[in-house]
Amino acid sequence: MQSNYPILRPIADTGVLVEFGAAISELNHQAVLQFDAAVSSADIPGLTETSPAYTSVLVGYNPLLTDYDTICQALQSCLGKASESQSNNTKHWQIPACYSEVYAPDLAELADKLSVSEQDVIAQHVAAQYKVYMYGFAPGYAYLGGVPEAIQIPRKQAPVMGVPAGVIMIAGPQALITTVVMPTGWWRIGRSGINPLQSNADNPFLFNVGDTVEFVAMSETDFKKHATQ
Amino acid sequence: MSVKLRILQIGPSSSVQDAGRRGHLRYGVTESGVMDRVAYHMVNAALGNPSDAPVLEISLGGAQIVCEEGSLSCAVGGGDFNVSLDGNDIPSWSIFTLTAGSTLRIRSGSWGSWCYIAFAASLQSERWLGSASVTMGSGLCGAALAQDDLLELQQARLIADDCISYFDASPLKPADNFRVVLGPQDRFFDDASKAALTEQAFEITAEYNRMGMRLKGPSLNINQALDMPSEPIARGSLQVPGHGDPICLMADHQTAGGYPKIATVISTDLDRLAQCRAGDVLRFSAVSVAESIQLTRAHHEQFLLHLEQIAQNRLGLTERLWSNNLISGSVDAEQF
Repeated sequence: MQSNYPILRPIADTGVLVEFGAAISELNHQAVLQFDAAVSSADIPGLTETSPAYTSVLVGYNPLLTDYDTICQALQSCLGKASESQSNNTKHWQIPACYSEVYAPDLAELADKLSVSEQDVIAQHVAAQYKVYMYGFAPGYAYLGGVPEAIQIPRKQAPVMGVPAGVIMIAGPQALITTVVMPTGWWRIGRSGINPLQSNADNPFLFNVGDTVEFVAMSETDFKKHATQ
Repeated sequence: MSVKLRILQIGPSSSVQDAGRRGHLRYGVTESGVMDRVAYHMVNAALGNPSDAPVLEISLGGAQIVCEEGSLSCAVGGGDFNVSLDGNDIPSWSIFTLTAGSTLRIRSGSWGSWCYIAFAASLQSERWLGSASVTMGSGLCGAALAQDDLLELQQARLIADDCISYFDASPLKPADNFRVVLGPQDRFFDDASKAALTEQAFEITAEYNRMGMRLKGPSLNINQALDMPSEPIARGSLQVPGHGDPICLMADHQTAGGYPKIATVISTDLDRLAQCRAGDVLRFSAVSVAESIQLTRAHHEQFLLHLEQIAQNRLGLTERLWSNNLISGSVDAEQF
């Protein structure tokens, strides 16, 4: 955390943006998680939700029930306690994945551009450990940081339309598993055996921000068996 | 009683909406819900519906809907749309009865971008995370309304046997001034741009949908090369991508993004802004956070009075119907 942080900024009459730094770093994200956990357990009157990201947390409030100064005081007190808060409810997930050609339409071009073999791309992707940094773009789209440098590549110039749910994609240092049909400029390298958007009515989201994820490669045959289970 | 309504014709971006699904921004789920929350609560209040009852949100493209089976009371409201029942014009804020075979037609009128139809019945629709609101394009809770869609309603009630105007919407007509609180990233913009935001006029472009409204005016420029980490976004944010035009983020906005936000429209003014149209010219004025909260509270008080007035009118109407003193013709809200 840089010295003048955290900074609290108003978002009109309904929100406070709490910033922990200007750049993405493990330290800043750790501060985000600790603060988010501290606020969640603080039971602040009028608070409507918190939304954690790479370096900041959006805190929403109801202006009929509280006001900016009151919320900020409560948040300052959470900042004081944040170092003691452990987001100890984080989990580690092993996600079955299939990197067969049929599921990986961008793998060959990606390997070619990076001058590595397709097998190397897969090996690197499987060996890495990912962390859920934040959600964004579409419901259930969890941004997983941790793509190894050797297979980092900028997103494509033009998006591909209609990419289905369950696709494993990478762009730059990030990976994600699609949950709904969306256009995307990320590189499609495999298919996930689990959709992180579950059909559980109460809590359909598999990952919490802060969870860790690894991918377990499966053959096409095993993957299909897994999928029909 | 069950009712079946068939969509004969419908403009793009019309959908089933309610108060929206809140509290899921952290999972990438936007709030959605109606674009004009004020009109939404009023059409439901006009029928004595629960405050979170789903309604149809009709875009400028209008709609034509036929009742195939049953009968029920409905309320319309929102912008000043042209509404007709079996070819007879009715007020744009009215309660009326749809009976089997009758056709409701809604076309854009003198002002407003969104018209709401509430039903004195339970609209059968998909629900996700406690809300019936469609998030356009996600496919997670239904999709935009389309021609030939069948709407089924249960527990239909009849409130009036004639058409009654229940509210004078003129106070809700959008003004041309909207209040903002600067930030959270106004510091990234050059001084000329910050001044221009509140000193110059902006025109609403045709790039306006449930996700956002692009404005055209003085170009807003950042004063440094920016590599902002993606951060959470709130409804009402004036986000400025590289093209320099501010985009006001609306009900279906993305939950996170890396473009700087020069200011945020206060929640109280968002509903009026949503009722503006492409070509409308508007200005922004900056208020402090404390002022924005005072404005919201004052607005809410006024809004509750409107709802109370509508509820009293409805109760008055019910009493008259009970005493068989049936109302004929259309009457002004003040007259009963």
